Amino acid sequence: MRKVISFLFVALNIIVIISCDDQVNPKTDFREVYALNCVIRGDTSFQVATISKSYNVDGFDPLTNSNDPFIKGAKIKLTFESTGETFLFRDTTLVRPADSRYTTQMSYYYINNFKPAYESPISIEAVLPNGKALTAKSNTLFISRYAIEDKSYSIPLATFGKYINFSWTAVTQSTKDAQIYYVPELVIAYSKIQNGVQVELQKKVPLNYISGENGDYPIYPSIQSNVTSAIFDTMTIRRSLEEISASDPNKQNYIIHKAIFRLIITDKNLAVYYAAQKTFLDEFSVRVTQPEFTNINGGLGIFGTLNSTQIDVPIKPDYIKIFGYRSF
Amino acid sequence: MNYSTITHFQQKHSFPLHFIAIIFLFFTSNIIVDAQDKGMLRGFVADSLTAEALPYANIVIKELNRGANTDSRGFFIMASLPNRRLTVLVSYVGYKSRQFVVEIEPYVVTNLRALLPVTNIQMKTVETTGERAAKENATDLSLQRIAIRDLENLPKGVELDIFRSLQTMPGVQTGGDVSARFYVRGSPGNENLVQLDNTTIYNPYHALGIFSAIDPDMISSMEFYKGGFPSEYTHRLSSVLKVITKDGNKNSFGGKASISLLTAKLFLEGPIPSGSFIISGRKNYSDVILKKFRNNNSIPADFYDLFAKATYSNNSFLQDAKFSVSIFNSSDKIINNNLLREDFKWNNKTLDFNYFQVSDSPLFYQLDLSYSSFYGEKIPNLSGAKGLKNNLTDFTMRLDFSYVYDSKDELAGGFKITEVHTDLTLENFRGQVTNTNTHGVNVSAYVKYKILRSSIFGADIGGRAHATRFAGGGSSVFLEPRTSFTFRFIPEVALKGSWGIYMQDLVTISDENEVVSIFDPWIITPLYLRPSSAIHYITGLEITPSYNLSFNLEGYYKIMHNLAIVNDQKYFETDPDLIAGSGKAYGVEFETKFQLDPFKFTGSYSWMRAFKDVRGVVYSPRYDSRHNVNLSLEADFGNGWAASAVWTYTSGLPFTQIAGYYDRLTIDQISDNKFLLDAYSPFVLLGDINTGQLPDYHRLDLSFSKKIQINRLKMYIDISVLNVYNRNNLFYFRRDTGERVNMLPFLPSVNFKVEL
Repeated sequence: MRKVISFLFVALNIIVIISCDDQVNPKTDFREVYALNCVIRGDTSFQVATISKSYNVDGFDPLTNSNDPFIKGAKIKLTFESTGETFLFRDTTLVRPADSRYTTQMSYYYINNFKPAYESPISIEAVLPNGKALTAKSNTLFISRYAIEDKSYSIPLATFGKYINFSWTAVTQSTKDAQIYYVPELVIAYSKIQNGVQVELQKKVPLNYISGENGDYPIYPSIQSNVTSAIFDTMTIRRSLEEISASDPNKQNYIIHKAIFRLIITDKNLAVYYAAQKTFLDEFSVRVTQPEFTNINGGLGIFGTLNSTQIDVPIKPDYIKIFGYRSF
Repeated sequence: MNYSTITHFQQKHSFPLHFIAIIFLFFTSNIIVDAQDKGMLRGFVADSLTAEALPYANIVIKELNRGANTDSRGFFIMASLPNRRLTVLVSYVGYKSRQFVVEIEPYVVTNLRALLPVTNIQMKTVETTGERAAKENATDLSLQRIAIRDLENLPKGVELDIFRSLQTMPGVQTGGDVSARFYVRGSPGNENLVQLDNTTIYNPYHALGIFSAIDPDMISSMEFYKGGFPSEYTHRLSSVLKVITKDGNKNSFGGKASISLLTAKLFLEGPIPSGSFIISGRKNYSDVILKKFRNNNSIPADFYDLFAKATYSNNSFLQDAKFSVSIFNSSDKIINNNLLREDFKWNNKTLDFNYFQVSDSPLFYQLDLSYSSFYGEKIPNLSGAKGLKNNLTDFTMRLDFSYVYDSKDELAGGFKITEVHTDLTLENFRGQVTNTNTHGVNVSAYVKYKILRSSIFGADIGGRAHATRFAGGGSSVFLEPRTSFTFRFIPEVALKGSWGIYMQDLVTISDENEVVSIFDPWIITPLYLRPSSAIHYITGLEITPSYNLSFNLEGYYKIMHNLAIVNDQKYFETDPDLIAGSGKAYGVEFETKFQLDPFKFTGSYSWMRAFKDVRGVVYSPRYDSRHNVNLSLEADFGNGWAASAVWTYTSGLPFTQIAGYYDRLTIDQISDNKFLLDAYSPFVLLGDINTGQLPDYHRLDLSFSKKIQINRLKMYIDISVLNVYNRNNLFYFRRDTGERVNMLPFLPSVNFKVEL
């Protein structure tokens, strides 16, 4: 009997031991990584860059981190490769919104005298206070090489037609055109009077709406290469005008200024970075992790270039009145 | 000569299809050995009460100590027998062994029809001896033949599941308690071919994949190739599971009704004029037990499956022919009754016609026409998930033949035409609905020659040629050469080897990192990719020191090319949905079996490594489990009492760990000229892919069963306890909260079955 009791005691202990939880650590060793973000814009001479570092938190909610990850004191140099000109960024800070989880001012870097006037390879190098270097390359985009075709657009169309076709061309062709991506957009510029104050707003117009099981879904132009036009359905423009006031019965509080067709061009790096963020829960809805793209050597982030041009598209006052709005 | 009929036929070649065999006879005539004064024995082994074929029964000719096994249809052929009177011993587990005396005559095929009566007395020694004689030169590396009776004593859990039974074999990885999906030798689940008789089932799972959709009651046996499968199988890279269904009782009507904590089942069988039928149906009635599989989260699953088959065999209509028609339908719904959650529906439907002919000569052939469809739909409602519909139809016609030479060598061949149509409709992140509608025809033919003339050496040399493929880039011709051999040095030791090339041009577009896969949508390999291919190298050593003890050791090395991988860097609409990757897997498997009445012990260990190479990044896939141990002890105490215990151990599966967080620039509107200063949101920084390791998995299951028989009425009561020591096996953890989600806890269950 004693043997049986001893056996049961041992067996019970073994069972208790092996039935315990094994602790799993969902986290591996913390990886210190720096992210450099800089998008050189062709439509301004004020260029901005930021550098932030990775962080860890107790638990799994990154919003509990209140230590400002943005780095100050880095040396950032921009080199216009075709001329060899270099531009040094200066660091400064920005007051954060009151609801920010960071209590300090945001550090960032800027140049206020660089506006690319022609297409050229460009590079950036950031040397962090700890000596670590982040580098990247891109090409500046010269928007004057592109022209939106002047067809005396107006809303509604001067002639019968269901669609407004905005098209553009590269005035001078380049072998690099295939590496350029386009984001066309049509917005309606309007004002809304709120408590006696006129607030300037914009309403983005989709290409069209598609019907889904959850109702209509607006389709906006996607970022693409090798496209030369964007076609907007006049019915969607009308619907966008209606949506400006939605259920607000005080239509006279809305002043419609005009529509603006804007053509944004980007290099491939920025296009991929932008598109990658839009692919979460893409086609197969099964991604465990969101795809991540970077062209920064030695770290994360994006160094890209962007430029834009736009034309005004007048909206006829008689047409505006149909909606009960005022024209500018 | 009870329970048997013996007839003699003059060997002749009367059927037009014989010309195929004659062509090969011509080409192989130089290797036909002297067969003068030799005869053949052809037989069929069945249950004496129901006339149901007994698959893999053992046949031994006592005077020659030569053996054979029946095939999955209960047939066997033994060639090159001496011209004399011979004693044939036929045995099968659970049946009374019987001896038959046959008179072998030269140039004559002697027919034996052996009907065995059921017995409760176990005669394992006889059966094991017969099995050993039959296996002497069999080219069966990596093949497991499983009669459904072999599974009945194992712990059933909620209920007996054929896919879960595979997971106790070395080299077969499990998807965890929460999935009946299986991964064989480092390959993903979509590279396993599952056939119901001759029909492919594309998504044979119920309820999030927790159970298989094939009810064990309708099954007679299974053939499972873990690799190195022969030329008659194609369109998959990794493994083949062929499920052979019952024909039904040809003599009297019968039925079974059973109930478990999950389903209620009904099985009916009986004779029809010159044939038999079976009808098997299963329906779940509660999802209470399913909650246990998902950490007490509700799974509002509603499923059923239905199988019906009729066979017809009338010698006055067509001598020695058998016709069968079967249908199968499995259907699942997960309806949340909540517009904020998505709903799911999927079903499989098959229709099969089979004509099987035993010729006057030692020739078998069959014509099979089958239709299989799969439909799956994800209905997003207002959940924000993206909609998905997948429809696949497969129409296949195949003709197979098998001829046995006087030398005991065998020639087999056939051709197959498969037409597949896949339709995939899905919604992308912009709400755009895209439709991929593809259609393809595959025509292929195979031939194989089995050298079985020597008792110490056997070889299977063959290949399949695809004249056209469903789709995929490159040439429309693809060759799949395959060979395997067995060399038995001494009666107790056999060395085995296998090599082959395998092709697959249907792929699923699910991410293998997905924690729970409701169903896998199938598409034909797009034209911009080449079909996936694999090369298997397998070697094995079989040692049987005594009739009740055996050891098996197998090693394998697999190389995979052009694996279709979901493109996780699809940034633009023009980017491909799938990209090509490569992979390799290698491992060693060991298995031992020991029988000492009333106990039967099976122990196995496997070690494996698996790698994938995608865009130059090499990583271990999620199902790469390094060490696996399975121990099983069964006891048959007689008088209907049986018990079993199964312990399973799997070393932790790989996963990708969190290496920190960073504030990522998040561009919502690219036209916003301030995004560099105000558009940052936290983002998980992942470590290297799958370099973390989840905790080890282990579980002990126990089962006790009792069979009570009162005249024709049989009652079975089975009590199972899963996870006896309530091990908290980790299923996954949530990255956003770190919450630990465990698998099945301690779970007792009861099954009750009545059979008439």
